[in-house]
Amino acid sequence: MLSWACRRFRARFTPGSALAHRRACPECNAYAQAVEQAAGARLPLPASLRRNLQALAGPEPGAVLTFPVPRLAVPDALALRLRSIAQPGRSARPSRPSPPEWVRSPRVAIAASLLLALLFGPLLAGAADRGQQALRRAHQEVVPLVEDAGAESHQAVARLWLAAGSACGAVRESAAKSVRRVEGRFLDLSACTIHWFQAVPNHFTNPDPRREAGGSSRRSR
Amino acid sequence: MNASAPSPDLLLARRAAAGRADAWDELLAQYSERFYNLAVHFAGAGADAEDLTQEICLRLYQNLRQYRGDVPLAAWALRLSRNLCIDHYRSARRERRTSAVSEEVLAALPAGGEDPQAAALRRQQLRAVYQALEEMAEDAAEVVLLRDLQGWSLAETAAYLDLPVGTVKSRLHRARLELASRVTSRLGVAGASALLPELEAEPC
Repeated sequence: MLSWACRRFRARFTPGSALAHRRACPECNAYAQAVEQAAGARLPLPASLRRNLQALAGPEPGAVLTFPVPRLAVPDALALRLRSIAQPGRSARPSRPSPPEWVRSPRVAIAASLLLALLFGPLLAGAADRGQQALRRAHQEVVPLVEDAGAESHQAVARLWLAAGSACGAVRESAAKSVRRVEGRFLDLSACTIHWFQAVPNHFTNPDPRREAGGSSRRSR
Repeated sequence: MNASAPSPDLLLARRAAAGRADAWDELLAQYSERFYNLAVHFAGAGADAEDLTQEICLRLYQNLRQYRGDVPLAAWALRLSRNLCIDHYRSARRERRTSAVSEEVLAALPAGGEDPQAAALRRQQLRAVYQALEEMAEDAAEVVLLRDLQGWSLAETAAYLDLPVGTVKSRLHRARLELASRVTSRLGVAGASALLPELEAEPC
């Protein structure tokens, strides 16, 4: 005889509802599965009956054809291939958890950009500055060596020195320009980012970014 | 059953995703023919259509757990493979400029009574419709293909195209008008009169 809890569960159960008693009672779980299966089962319409019913319906107003386009039956070999997709070893991909709110919020994205700019800005500027210092040091070390060289190699060394000097000057100038540009860009970026950050309203979030992941082909055309 | 109960499609998808072979078979019994026939129209009959059908079903199986039941399952499954379908459709359009409709489809066309002349006329009309579709823009051709030639409902077509139903209706109406003018210019007014009934009078 069914217990009071089982009777109550079966009276309240509808397919899809998650009641705690189902997990606790194997018999009620089997009952729930049977009800769900019965609710989800739809008998396929026999092909001949479907054709007859389609013929009764006639063409839809405005349809491009007054007769139905015939349906081809799935070839047997293909049907076998399709059934083999659901082999025991091959399971459906597990459901991916939804990304956390802080990933979906554009405010957080802007704040992260600002943080990265502030962190990496001085680092990159410092690297360019260190390069400039290294060039300066190399210049200081090469000059005494050249001055100490013998008289006969002076001419060759002078030509080499001229070429190296001009290259060194160009590099130094370019590095200094890069440093100035990077600093300028980071200042602009910081100012803009703060402006953007304030401009985005709190409630503006992308509800479900994974919907975009399916990829509409219209976008790729 | 109350209003918030999951749809039969969702229940079926959940059971199939849980690894129930009977549920997968049931799902194939319901939808594989639709997938295959659409694949025939996208890729042409033969091995290409079979490969495309298999790809659609494979993607469906792999993504079953993502299905939420908010759109029809068939449309959702095909939306997963839409880029693939479009690629096949483009290459089929490129390669089959003269005869778009599959000979297998033509062979399966009902004879229309005992009159062989009527059957021949139907074949000619169907060829003309497909040839006109090939000349039309992809968006317009696609919506006519799904709605009129494949018999999809407006909701299914909208779900597949990821568009509102109203947009699908207006696009369909424009596409039908364009198709009517192309078929008329191809077959002449007399030849096309059996097609496109009351097209000008009925929006959708």
